[in-house]
Amino acid sequence: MNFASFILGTTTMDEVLPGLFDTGIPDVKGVLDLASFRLAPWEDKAAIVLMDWYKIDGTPHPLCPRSMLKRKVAEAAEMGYSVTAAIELEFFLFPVPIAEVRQGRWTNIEPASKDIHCYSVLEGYFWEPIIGQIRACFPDEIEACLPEWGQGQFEVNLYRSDIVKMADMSVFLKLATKQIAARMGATATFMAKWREDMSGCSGHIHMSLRDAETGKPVFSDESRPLKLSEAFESFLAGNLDVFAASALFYAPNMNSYKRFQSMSFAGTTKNWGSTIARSAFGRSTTHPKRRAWKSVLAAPT
Amino acid sequence: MNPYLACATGLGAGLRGIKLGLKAPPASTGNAYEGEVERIPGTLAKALAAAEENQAIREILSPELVDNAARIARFEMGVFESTVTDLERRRYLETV
Repeated sequence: MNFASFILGTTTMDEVLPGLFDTGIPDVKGVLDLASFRLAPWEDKAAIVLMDWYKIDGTPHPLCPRSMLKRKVAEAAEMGYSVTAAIELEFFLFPVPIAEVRQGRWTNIEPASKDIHCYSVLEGYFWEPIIGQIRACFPDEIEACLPEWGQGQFEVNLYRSDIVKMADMSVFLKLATKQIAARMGATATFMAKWREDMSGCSGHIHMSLRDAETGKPVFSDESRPLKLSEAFESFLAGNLDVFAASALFYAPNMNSYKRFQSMSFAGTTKNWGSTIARSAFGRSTTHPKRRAWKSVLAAPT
Repeated sequence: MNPYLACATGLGAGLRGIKLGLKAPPASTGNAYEGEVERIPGTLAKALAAAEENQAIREILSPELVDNAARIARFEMGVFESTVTDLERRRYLETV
């Protein structure tokens, strides 16, 4: 299936940008990845399948983000690693019909609660009609979900999987959350900072490398300080090496940077730690089988 | 964030670190918000500049993807710079 290629280089508002398409907008080919096929129970009797972008000549399109991730996974495989990831996403639910937002109600939105009830069972109860439906859509993929540190804010933790599947799953989760909220007369947003006086939303990425043959965790070494291997330290150092340069890819919007405020639980500093969550990078667990690298940089849109 | 680009960035940067045998500084302790530590770029403009002057990120994500992200960011900044907002009306309409 062919599509207009402007969508590979556009904004959240689908503007056709100068520079890339000055001499016309060539077609790109969408090639179904049947491995991504799954039921989409957040819609009635629906299934969903993802595509990768190819050039018309049949080669992967250089601007296809999913193809780029697949290339990085192939690079890891050449080095003898399999890659596992887990993503956590935060979002706000507003007691406002999405139809009103679509008609211009971008302000005058009040959260459902004036107060923060982080991790509260009771707070979770009030949104269970929506959150319960989201959980029911992904019984094997959602590991936990809970009210977060914001008025009407939630977090969903996805159970670890192959990293491409995990990125796919975060797309499905956002889609399902927005659609279910809309159907229930509410609005969901993953916007990084919807109000300067309230919490922002982030997305945390945990990654783990395993030996592709033995399945042994590559980041773990019981004999070393903090039980972290040399490969872990180099993996971490590689991320610190492009600390500033990589921000654009974790935080691509003007609004993303309003989330990166000091003392806001956002990862803002070029350092790392084993227990602290405020550094941009950290070791996320002390369990040897699950030792993972964590980026708390990411601010979803 | 685009989860594919974010994951590709973190994975690609980490693999590059392993290939080059890069060494990490010691782990921080205490409150990472305190002390003399480099901060993440504070604005999209600063993030764009940091990406554009860095060769490693082009190796990790390809020049095409970095240039594409830069083009989008620059356009987005232009929209914000040329749009008159409620904040401006609030701060200036009555007082200026």
